[in-house]
Amino acid sequence: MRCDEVQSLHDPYLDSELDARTALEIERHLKACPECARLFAEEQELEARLKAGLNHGTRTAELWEQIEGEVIHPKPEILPQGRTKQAQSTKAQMTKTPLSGGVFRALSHLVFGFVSGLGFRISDLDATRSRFRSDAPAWAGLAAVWVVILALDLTARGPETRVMREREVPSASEMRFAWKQKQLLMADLAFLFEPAPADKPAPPAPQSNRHTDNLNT
Amino acid sequence: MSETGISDADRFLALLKPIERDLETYCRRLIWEPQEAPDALQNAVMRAFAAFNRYHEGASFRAWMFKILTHEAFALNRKHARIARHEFQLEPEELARLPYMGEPERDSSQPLSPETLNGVLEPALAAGLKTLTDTERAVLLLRAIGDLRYREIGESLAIPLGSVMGNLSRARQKMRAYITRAERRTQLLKENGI
Repeated sequence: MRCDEVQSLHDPYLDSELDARTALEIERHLKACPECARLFAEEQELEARLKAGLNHGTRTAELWEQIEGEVIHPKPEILPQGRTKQAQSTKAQMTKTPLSGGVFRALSHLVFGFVSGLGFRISDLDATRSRFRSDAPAWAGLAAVWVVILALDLTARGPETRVMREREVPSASEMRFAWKQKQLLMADLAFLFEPAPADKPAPPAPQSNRHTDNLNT
Repeated sequence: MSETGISDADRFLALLKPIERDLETYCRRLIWEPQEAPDALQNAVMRAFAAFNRYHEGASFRAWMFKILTHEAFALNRKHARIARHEFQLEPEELARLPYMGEPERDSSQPLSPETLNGVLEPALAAGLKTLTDTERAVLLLRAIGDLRYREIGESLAIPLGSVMGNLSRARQKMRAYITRAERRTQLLKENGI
């Protein structure tokens, strides 16, 4: 092997990373070449000092006692940013929102449309209105549907949400939202059940254009 | 619990104890923010214990543990988005033209003791490590402290064997230049009775 080839392999040779055949060739070269042997010796000494300097360190007893203690008695898993899994799940649950107003309204319309479509024709508004006014079970059924919807919404909040469970009384905004939803639904109901408008009076006859008449004369 | 009645925690700690000092030294050298070294060590150990069921007997626990710690330290370094002061590759002769840094002030009336000489070397090592890229520093430390084979270093850092050898060679050249200058300067001071 040439000197430049041998010197290029001094790191893996000193680290014992070469295959046996190449290592043997380098050893033979070093025995025959004093210059390469000197360079290898210097590199080996420097590497030993570097390794000794980098390895200069201690074991912090308190730190490892704490770490080993956590291995034996693990705490909740620490996630990035210092949050625990429990805290993260609680935070996720706290941001869980109830049914949005749009979903609530859509459900109301769906229910109402389903009930209204049961045998009721939109063209037969008079019969529909009279039938609903006299049909108490229909009203009771509609009220029952309302109750079911409200119950589903309340159960969707979940018992695991500690913050929501602690709130016994709904907030003012929640009350206003529910009242508004009710008003919208009642308005839809009233629209279908409002009395038919009376016959409109005949539009007044157009008045003679006196000014025009005066000009033509 | 294994068939012999030894818990997984006991088995894990039995493997961990002999390498704790090396892990801590490696972590303190590798991480940019020294105060985050305990967090990196703790997170790495807990992640390793959580994945202990995937470790099989016969494999190198040392290499496995150093790999996990390296990833943890890299994640913390990335979080701080620290870039090595000299991220571009410096040749040793360029290093020689740089102003020397890191040598502590000392009382010139006292002769240099072996402990002081070691103390002079430590700032040079710390300064030299800061000039390495993250990969160069990790390769150098995994070899010098972790005592990992080239193949294990490559697996830890997910780089090919050629890159391991190239990074190691460059890192050693830079660090040796720092050490040589520090020792030469110390020798000159000693010879002049300073």
